[in-house]
Amino acid sequence: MNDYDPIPFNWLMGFQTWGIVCGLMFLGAVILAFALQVLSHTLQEFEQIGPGKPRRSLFQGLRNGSAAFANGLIEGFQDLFWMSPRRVGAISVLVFRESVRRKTLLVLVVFAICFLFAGWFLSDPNRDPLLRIPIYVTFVLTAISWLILPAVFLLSCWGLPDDIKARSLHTVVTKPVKRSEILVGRILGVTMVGTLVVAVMSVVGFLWLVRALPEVSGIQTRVPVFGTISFLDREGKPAKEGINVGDINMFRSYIEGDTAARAIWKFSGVSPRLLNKDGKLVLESKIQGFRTHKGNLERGIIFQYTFVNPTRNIRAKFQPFEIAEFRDSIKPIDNDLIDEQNHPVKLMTDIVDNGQLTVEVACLSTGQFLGMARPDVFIRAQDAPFAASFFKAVLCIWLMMFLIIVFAVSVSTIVKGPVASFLTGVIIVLGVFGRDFMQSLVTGEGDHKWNGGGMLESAYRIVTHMNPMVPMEKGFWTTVVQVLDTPMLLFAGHSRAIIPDFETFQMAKFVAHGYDVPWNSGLLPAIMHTLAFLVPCVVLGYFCLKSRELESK
Amino acid sequence: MSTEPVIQIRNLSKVYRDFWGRKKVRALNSLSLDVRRGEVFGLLGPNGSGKTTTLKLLLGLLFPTEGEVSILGKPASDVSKNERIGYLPEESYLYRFLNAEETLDFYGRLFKMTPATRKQRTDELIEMVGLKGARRRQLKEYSKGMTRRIGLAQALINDPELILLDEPTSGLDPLGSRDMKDLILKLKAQGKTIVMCSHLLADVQDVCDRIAILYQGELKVLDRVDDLLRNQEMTQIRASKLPPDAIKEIEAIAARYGAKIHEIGQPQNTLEELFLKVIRDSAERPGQRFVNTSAS
Repeated sequence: MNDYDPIPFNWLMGFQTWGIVCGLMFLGAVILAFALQVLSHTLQEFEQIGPGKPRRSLFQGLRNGSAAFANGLIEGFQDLFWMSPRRVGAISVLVFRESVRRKTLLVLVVFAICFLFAGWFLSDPNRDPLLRIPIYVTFVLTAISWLILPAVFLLSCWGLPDDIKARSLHTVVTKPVKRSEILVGRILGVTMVGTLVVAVMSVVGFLWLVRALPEVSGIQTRVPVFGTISFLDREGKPAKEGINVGDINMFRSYIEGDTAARAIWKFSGVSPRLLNKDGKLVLESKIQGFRTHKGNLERGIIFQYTFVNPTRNIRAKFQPFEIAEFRDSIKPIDNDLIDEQNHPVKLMTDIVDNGQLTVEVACLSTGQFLGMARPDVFIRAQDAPFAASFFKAVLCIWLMMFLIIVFAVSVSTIVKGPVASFLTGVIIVLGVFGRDFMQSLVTGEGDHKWNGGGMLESAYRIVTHMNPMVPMEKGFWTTVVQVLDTPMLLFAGHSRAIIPDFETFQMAKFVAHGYDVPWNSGLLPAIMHTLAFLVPCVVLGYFCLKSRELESK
Repeated sequence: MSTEPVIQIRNLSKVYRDFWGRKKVRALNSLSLDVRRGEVFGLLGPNGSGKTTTLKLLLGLLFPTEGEVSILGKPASDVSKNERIGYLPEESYLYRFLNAEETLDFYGRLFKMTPATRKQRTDELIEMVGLKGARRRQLKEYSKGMTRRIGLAQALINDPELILLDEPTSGLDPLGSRDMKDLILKLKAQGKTIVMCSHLLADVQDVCDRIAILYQGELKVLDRVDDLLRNQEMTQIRASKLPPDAIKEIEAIAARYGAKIHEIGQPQNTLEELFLKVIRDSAERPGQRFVNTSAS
């Protein structure tokens, strides 16, 4: 894996963040809607009763506004839960027809043109096929994304506002059609078009890959089982991480050779189903070396696996071997091992403890270092066909497309086409490029670490020309500023979650480097991310459309 | 005709406001009226009098500022009322990329009709509105008259009890206009309740049982058309082949009773009647010039 750590989906944290953000969003929307209802009814009463009795107007406005709000809320949730599949289907088919007759499928022609001439520009056909595969695979997946997303983006942002502007929607809402059915029907209709286009593009793209690179049809993708990593320092004491050898962005931690420093992996769910055809457990690694002296340049740095059962205190060392720098090292581990007391032990029965396998990695070359990150050592389960991995990546593109459709259609329920396009466009740009920056801005952690405190503290520093690295003087006002900054940063942190993380859907990094798209750290986060936005977008979109006067002047 | 109200409007007002909530115009002011089952009810008024606003408030396309509306016993905001309503908008705002069959099939689906029922209704309505030859053409290729016809067909797809027609004859040629009026009368004969708004007074007079005249958002007149138009001061005698001597005798009798005869002469047909006669005659005798027998 190239400097990328596929983090497994954390259900608890996912639901917690989702609950907090949605809760705050709904609470805000409910308060706003309630206030607007009460205000509008109070003004109405004020006009009717006259300015002489403001208390009565206020009381009546509050009573009528609350009743209208409660009715709207109850009615709204009933509409959302009781939709007619037939009506939703009718509207979806209508949107599909509309899109097809507006020549949306021309995007396939553009796709075909891209592929007709792609071979000219991509790479030298005489190059090593293994190096050509990542380029070609990335090209195909990127081409699918970049062609389908603008098409569905425009269809989603402009469809409903155009329908309202042309008043075609009048003939629909004057039938027994709920606004929720219109919203969901439109989302599904655009999704149908997108699905058709993605399906055609992915099949054509795959066939093109097979034709351009005949070796693709024979290749398999690795199915990695990742574990967790921990470190021991040079004295054998537990450490948070290894040594930084001078990298600005420290992805890998280093352990020192010929000391007690260790990187320890723990793999869960280890069972005979992970063994290869020869009954061996395959460990694959991509460990980097860092030399503090030349040493023997003809030999790589030496490292060693030790398999440990901490419960039964069994330790079995595997024969040392050289690291294969910049390449993957694959080691099939035999089931029969010898422990440190020279007793024969079985890997799967004596070392694996309740499905958990502990592997210690040590560097044996004195004065040299080995750099490792969590995904650098993994158990390689039985390989999967390349096609499976490719189409899983396509599925993630589809999920991203669906998320954009949901978002754009929901936004278009309340604003006109240009505004919906602008808003959705901003969200996409922020989701693709700005999320990490926002994360570091809010939390002060991450690749772009941000100094200078929260909003008020930063404002103070700007006004007083104070360097962000200089600590604030301790005192009453500093405390006040920092106390006020805390909830603002908290709010900003949760607001950040409103922007979808489009990086979650990028699976080319797996497929292009010969990995199967993992379920727990690839597909599942993408699916959950989509669902997390689907529910609040549909609910808010529905209430926006319901509260909208379609014929308002 | 039943006295059971199908539509009940009470103190209905509509104020259009701008983005900031400031009052722009009061389009409707405390309108109260009932529409009874089985009648053809006309909403009349000049442009901007609030006719279309009333219709849109009934349909839930606009929200009332004040007052209440009940249609078929349900509030205007309840979409389930639309199961029994048909609506023909002022312009036929249909999906131009669909053809006539697809249009009716789509609206039929919205009423959860089975495929067989949709097919049957589609065939019946296309036949009824005279679009058999153009059923597979996309609506964007239709003339205005054809668009009105398919608009009417979609309004009737669910065989509604209550039909709301906004300017039903606008854009139609005299023949189409006559057909539309005949259709309205036919629907009335089937027991349907029809509310139409129009500023074409002759059309309203031809088909409506009762009318309401609106001016600047206020109700000015609400009554039966016959009663409103009957002139109690005058007496009309219509006779055919009356010789000149008989006319003199009638004049003498009138004078004897102290009555004044304002006009004696041959009445004129309306231009609409003449036009329809010409078209029908031309269809019956193609290639021959029309001879107006009633004028000679």
